[in-house]
Amino acid sequence: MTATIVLRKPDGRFEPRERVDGSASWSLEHAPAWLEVRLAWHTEGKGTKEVVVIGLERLRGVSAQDQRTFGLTLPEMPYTYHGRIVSILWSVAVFGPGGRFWHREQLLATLPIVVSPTREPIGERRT
Amino acid sequence: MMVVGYFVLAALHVDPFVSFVLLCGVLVFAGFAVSATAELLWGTGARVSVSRQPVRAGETFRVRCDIGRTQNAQGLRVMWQGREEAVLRAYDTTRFVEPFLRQELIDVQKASASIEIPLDAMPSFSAKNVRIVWSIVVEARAGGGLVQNDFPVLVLPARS
Repeated sequence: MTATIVLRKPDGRFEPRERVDGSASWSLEHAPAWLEVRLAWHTEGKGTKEVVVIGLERLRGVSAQDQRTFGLTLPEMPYTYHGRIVSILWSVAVFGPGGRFWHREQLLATLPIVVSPTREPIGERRT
Repeated sequence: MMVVGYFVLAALHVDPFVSFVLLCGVLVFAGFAVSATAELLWGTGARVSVSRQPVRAGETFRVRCDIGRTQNAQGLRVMWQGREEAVLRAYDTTRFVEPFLRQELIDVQKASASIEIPLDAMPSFSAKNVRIVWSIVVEARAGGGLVQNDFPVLVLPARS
């Protein structure tokens, strides 16, 4: 069971309001009922983790081995940020139905991206 | 005190719901009164004026600070501050605050100070558990402690 995300911009660096185009391919045991490509940011560091999905594309009628293109538009804010106690990180991810009834969905693939006007993370820890 | 007040009102045959609302009102009023008294006793009466609000990354703006009660303004410091705030929501709410920039503004009472926001600065941002806050902070030693007044400045993304 594998899934891969490939972006049209291979460096994965975007400016705010830019469109994130790419393709998702997968090879699963059975044809899933649905798959979703999600564009989201989440926090790391101190405090309760926050995950905010900004855009999603629901892929229907997919087969066990397939490939689909997607295009999602970034908002103005927030930027990718590496601060002293918190970081804000962007990613594109593919989700599918979970294998167990208590797992409604499962993450199949994720790819981090950078979002800022300079296409570099903002903040002190820029690695 | 609230419990005593509740029983006093009950003895006067006041409706329990009315008593509750009345006591909540008294509690809020007492909070404001204590805050106002503390500000009068130990507060600096600081007022901060900025030449523009909001301000965009890459822009410059001017700040002036007026101190209303100079007798309370011992060791006065005025700072341009950027800080991260994170909230941990568990059994109780814990707030973490960490400044990432503290720039002291010199002689900001006598003349206005100029602040330039770098083009690549993180703009103000607020979500459920994380915030990026820019503000003018006025600090003074008063009443045996450090009194801080925070004047937030909204920093918007740079013009594209």
